Amino acid sequence: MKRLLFLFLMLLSVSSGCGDKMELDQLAIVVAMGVDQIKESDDLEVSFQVINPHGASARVATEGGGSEDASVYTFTTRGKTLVEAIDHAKNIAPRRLFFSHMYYMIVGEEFARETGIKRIFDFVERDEQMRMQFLTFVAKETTAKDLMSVFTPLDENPAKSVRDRVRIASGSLGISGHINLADAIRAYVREDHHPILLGLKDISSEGSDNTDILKGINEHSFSLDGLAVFKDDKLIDWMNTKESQGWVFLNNMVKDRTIFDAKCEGGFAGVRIHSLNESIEVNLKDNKPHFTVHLDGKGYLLETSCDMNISNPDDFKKLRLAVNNELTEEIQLAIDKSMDLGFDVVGFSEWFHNQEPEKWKEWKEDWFSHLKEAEIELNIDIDITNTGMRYDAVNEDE
Amino acid sequence: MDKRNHDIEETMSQFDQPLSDHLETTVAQFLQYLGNSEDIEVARFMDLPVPFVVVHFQAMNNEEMISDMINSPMIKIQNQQSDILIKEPSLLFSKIEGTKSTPLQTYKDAIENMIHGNVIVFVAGVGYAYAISGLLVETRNVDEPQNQTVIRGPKEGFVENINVNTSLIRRRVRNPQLRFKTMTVGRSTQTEIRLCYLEDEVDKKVLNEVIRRIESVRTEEVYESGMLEELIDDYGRKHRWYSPFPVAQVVERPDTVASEVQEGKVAVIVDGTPFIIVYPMTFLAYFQAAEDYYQRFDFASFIRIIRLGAYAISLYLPSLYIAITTFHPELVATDLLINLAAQREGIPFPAFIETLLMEVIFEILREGGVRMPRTIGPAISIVGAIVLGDSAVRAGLVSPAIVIVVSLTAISSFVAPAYNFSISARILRFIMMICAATTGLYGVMFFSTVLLIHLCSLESMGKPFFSPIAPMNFKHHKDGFFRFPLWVKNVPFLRPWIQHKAKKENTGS
Repeated sequence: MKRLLFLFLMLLSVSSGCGDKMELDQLAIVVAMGVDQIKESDDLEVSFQVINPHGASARVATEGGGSEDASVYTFTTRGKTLVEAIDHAKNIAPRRLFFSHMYYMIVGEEFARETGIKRIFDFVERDEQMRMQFLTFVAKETTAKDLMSVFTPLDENPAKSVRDRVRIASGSLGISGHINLADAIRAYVREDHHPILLGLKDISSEGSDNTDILKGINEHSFSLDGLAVFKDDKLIDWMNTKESQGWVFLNNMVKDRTIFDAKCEGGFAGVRIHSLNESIEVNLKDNKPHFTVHLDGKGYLLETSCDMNISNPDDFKKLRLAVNNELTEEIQLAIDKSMDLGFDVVGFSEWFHNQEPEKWKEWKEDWFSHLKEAEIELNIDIDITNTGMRYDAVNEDE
Repeated sequence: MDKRNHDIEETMSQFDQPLSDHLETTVAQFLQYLGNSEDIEVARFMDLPVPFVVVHFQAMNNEEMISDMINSPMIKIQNQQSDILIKEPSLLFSKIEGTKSTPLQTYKDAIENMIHGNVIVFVAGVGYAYAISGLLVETRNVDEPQNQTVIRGPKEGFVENINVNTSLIRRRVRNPQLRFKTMTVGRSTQTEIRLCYLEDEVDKKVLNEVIRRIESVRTEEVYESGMLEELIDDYGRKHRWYSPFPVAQVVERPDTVASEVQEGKVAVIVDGTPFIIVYPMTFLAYFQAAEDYYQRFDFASFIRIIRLGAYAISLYLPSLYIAITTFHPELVATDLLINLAAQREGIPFPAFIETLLMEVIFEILREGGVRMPRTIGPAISIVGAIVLGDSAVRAGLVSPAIVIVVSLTAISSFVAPAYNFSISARILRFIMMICAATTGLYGVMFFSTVLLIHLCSLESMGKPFFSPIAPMNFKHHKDGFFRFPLWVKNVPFLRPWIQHKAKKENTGS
């Protein structure tokens, strides 16, 4: 009797299984998701980019190769909520949508400005499949749907192409990590910060003919472009490239970057800076905040067209100064932008919160009015340690 | 079965009668007891002062040796000293040099000796017979072991003959403490069994346990040490009968047996098989090969870790593939997942069936390869390679990834030096796959936990099977996961500074 019962229990465990099972060929691996607000309507337009394994896989052993197939399939659904849109997607894609391998999410500019990205935070935080580590962009001056239908050169998988642009090339911002959704949510939840997302811009030339594949490859693309500034969960404004560069320096997100146009006598110098170390010192002077931004690091010369003899210590100092001036300018631009927008975009509040917690409690309600009065001192010190394989610029009279 | 046992004992007891004085009647009676079997060779020497009859089984003894060692010297001595021998025929054998003889009083003794391969000599007027041993037909030569081969190390392997095997061990352990204890198992086969151990090293509890179990075996027949191993296993214990793990070490190499005996273990030699079993056994010892001690310790340790890893692969890989692809695709790197998904396009079976199919095909191929006559052996590998590697994928039955999984599993299962142990992974793999297919990684973890608990509960001759790990013993870890250098064990002899110290003390005193 005991044995029969044991056997019965064993059978139960076996027959109850497989409930959560899904075969790989029943999955639609979602690599990118775009969310747009439809004008003058409550509806959201959600675009899904789904991998077509047959086309995306580098080498599929089966004969009669699938290399002609498109690597991704992009489709769009509508719904009042994200969940409704995903549910409608089931009618279009014959497979179960699988979100764990998402590379990035794009939010249309309209959605970011009007609806607010809070709705996305809520959905993503609740969903068990979504990972918070995917990149999040705002589509600059366009919709997410448009960006997602762009065919990318070099990489079969457009989503991967976008991710690698951020990770490997790290754009022109020099962000060592990347800004993912988790970062944005963290910034949103904190009382001393505001979220910032990367901007993605369509750089297709007008009127390109999509039917011609070659033309499409050459003329249809998108690139990273500046940072999207949010106040609470709404998009307020864009930072241009210089301002964005200053912003990432102030937020200590840069490990190394190349400065291309440090201005000096008679030309420009390109310098690769690395081993960067940033900190902001907070003091109170006359009941006003006083910030000192320290940024030090090392650099090596890549290219110069300046009229200077680098082996001469005085000229070398000039070069160093040129680099430091360039960085100072970028950072100052970011600070100016923050002042123009009328709230603490840069996140001085975080440093202030950490170093003057008592005062922060007092001031946090009207923090910007105090920040306005603040004195911000920039103390930039990049040491050029290496001039490459030669000293002087190549000159004719040499 | 019981009735048959009883019959055999009864028949033997019928023979328990003293031999008679009269030569002809004795021999006739003796032959009649053995049913005048046609392979009995009877040589009569009746025209001599002391007539005698030599009886033996034709195929068991060397005819030439019998004539050299018994017949010729007997005739010669009778010609020389016939006067004394007629008076006192019992002195006959004491006059022959170099032959070992045992006097036998009853028919039963004579029959038992004869079936063990001795030559029986009936001598007129003595009232008893003589058993002469050591004249067995030569068996197979000592050869390189077939299964436990090494790159560096002795190339001798055990043979079927128990005496040769005994001598192989004795030659390696020249220690007066080395003991052999002979026992007999199997009522019908009367198989000779010899326990081998070092008197001062052996664990008496283990030795007594082995003796007790062998004595309590009731069986008709034992042809191989595997049968004995099964008969004296722990099956009385709860949860033991369904365990897939063997708890005896099977050795084909005299050097391994020698080193095990040196460690205080008990070797059981069974007549008629080159496989010797050694007790007690531990889990980690299954991953130790004889060669580990003949190669550098760092390399041996590395290889040992590889073996453990390979065992884990052969146990887990198919189930991990099933669990991860069907339950946890989020665990796979995206690019790999896309490739795997592309391979699965158009495959009609779920991953579990796919894996099961390939595993079963492989098991069939492997079994086919073992039973195949040597000359057509290569055919198996050709068919196997084509069927497994290519056609199944081309036909769309399985995905290429499965072929990799199954091949890696198969190769890994050959890595374990102990064949009897690697079989356990072959069986458990399938159960693991079912667990993976029903509840994913949770099932795999669950079954692994069950296995671990089970392993900790196992015993080999009363000693914990999972020994250096489950009852944690750091001392034994010197030769566990890693093989520590030999000088770690034998500190005082090989460390030069200690020798210096000893010398100084000597000269100082």
